[in-house]
Amino acid sequence: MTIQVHLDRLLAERGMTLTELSERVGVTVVNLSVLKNGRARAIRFSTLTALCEVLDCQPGDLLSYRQG
Amino acid sequence: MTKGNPLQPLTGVVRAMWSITAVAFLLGVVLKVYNAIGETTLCFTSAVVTGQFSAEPQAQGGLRDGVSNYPTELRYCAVNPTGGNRVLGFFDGVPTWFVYAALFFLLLRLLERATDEGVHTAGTADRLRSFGWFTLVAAPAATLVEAFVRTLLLRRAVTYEVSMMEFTRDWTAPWWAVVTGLGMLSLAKIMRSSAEMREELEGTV
Repeated sequence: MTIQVHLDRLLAERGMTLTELSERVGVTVVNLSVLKNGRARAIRFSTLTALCEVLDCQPGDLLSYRQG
Repeated sequence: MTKGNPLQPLTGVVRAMWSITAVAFLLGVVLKVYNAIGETTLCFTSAVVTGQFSAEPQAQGGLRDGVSNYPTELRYCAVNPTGGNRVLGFFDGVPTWFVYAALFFLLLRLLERATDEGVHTAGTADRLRSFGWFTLVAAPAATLVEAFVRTLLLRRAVTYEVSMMEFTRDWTAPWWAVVTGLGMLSLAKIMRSSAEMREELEGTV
């Protein structure tokens, strides 16, 4: 896995739970867990937009590329 | 709104065909064994029409002027066949019955598992590929074996020389199986792609 998802860190920094994020973003907890645990194979622009809006961040804060 | 099972009514029809072909195969085997043991006459049909019969028109009434007819198949019956001939007689027909029953069994298993697990899965693609290979290889092989068997029986039934290569004249390649088998192999590749697409979709957040 070369794309890292930093949802854990962003949630901790904002003191938000996954359930709360799920309600505010409109994505199921199951799907957010899939994303958080690095098991997602793709992310929709609409999901990314909603996450960035709620978490007040840039896509680069949520995702990063790691070589190898 | 319920979507229903997209594999119906095909699954039902295939289940019925599997039952019919399985019973026919079992009955056929029982009858063949009974004939091989109990019957005093062994009959077989051969399309290898050679020697004195090959060029001679059959003198029969009822033909208009200028019309002649030639035998393309002859039925031979041997009284008190040897043990070897009885064994060969058993294999004239049984391989094809087995292939038909096995084809419907594989197809039924494919459809039932696809109903349970989903159509667009790697498992369905694998089973479709197996079905394709079986159709492509087994049906021609079965008819080939039977053509060999009939040629062997003919060699033992006539006084003139019959080359083993004559089996080619008695073998009708089941083109339906070749075309269907190749089609199933291509479809299996398509199913493999669609299974990957499904995984992609399910992993999309």
